[in-house]
Amino acid sequence: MKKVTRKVVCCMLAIGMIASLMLVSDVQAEASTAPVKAHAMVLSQDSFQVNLAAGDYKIANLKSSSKKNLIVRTTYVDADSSDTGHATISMYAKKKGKYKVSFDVVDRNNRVRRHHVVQVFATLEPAVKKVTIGGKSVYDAVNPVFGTRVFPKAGGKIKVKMTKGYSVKAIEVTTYDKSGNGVAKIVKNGKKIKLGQYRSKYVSSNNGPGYEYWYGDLFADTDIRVIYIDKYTNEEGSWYTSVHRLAKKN
Amino acid sequence: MKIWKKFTGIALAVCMAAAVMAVPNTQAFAKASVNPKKITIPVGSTYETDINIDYSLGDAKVTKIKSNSKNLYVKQTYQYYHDSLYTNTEHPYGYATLRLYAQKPGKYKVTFQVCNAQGKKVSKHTVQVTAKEMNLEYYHPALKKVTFAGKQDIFGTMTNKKSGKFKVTMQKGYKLNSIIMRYYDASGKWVERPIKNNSKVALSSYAYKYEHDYKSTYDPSYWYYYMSTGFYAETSFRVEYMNKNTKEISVRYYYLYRKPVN
Repeated sequence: MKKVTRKVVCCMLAIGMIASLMLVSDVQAEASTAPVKAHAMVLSQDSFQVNLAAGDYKIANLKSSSKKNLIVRTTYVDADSSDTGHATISMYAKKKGKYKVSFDVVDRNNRVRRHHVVQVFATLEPAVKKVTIGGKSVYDAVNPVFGTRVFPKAGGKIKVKMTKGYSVKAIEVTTYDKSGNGVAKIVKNGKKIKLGQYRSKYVSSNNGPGYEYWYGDLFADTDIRVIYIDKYTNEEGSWYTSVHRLAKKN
Repeated sequence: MKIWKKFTGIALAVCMAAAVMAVPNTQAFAKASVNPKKITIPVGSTYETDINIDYSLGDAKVTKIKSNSKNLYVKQTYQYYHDSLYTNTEHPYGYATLRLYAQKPGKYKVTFQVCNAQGKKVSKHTVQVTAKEMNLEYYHPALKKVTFAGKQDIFGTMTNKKSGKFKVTMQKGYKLNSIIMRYYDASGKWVERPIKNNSKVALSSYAYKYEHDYKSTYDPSYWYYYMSTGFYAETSFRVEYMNKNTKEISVRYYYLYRKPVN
């Protein structure tokens, strides 16, 4: 190889090494993170998490775009000089609407390490709007029913209707067998299901002469779990209800 | 003298035999205790609709559970039987629970038997059930109405009210024992103080708060900071009441929340 070529190649390699070293040290710097969007239910307490980097100390200058309608408060901080930590910012919405929550993550010298803005969407309606089986109402967010009702049908098509902005990911139906053990199945929205006929029952394995311990439900329950996606935050949520029928003997 | 001796001997022997026979060859079992024997329940609810059966020595199972109407559904939901005596418990020989559910208002009868481990009937029982339509939103079998500043729906929510009267009205058959107001004061101390029914009280504006800021003396660059606080300034009322019939004491808590100033 010619001497000049060698020198050029060496210089290029040296520059390449220095450049890559400099790039590595820039990437190492961590910062706190918070969600971009959060969902809050009106008249109930909700919260979101802030992930803290090592050296982050406190949450400061926490503000809500509406002091009156969205109350915010830092309710938990776990910070460390040499380790990551986290903080919880809790909120209480009095009115439906879109709000902005802003805050700073500061170090021990009160220097702002990062400024965050979280868009909060406060809604009145819960995720699940209505659930029917065989055309009969299991749950209705608009017309809630107090107390326990025995469901009038033995089965039928299960229809889950979500509030706008939410979508169903999966529906899990659990019924109990003659031994009182749960049997879970994933069903598609709109599919026909048969409600459970036996109650949940726990029987102790120590039962024998001179000892008997068991407990059971009153009704034959069919437990329905709806796993859904909150399209606003892209987060998954879970909702649960139980349908009661008079139980066969077990 | 010989005749007297013989006579006395026979008489004593007869007495002894009689005494031995008079001791029962099976132990006298006390009857299982059923509580309550009379119950009023709301229609369409399983809230406070349990019948408790305390087993006595020898009791093992509840059988032949029957309701005299298809509108009153009853099932045993709990069974705990052990043939040895357990001390330090309200139920030394175990207990069972029956749960009721009324589909329609009316008066009903629930009957059942308690039998021993061999399946032999030991005792028979009847429970009178009255099912009524009740407003279930605020229903409680002992606490008829509980209000703060005249409102029933204020509990469990955030309020702007600074003070008000806490009032408890009992259902028939129940007695109010005490009301204790609980909260954190301005110095962060937990306070529990008894108050009179329907007396005016001021709500707390202070949330629970714990803070710990640690700095190492060896290495000043090492520290950690921990803080935990409640979202609300919570004031709670502990209501203790007694069932006049069974003398059973129960407790229920009512909560009010304010925006904290700390």
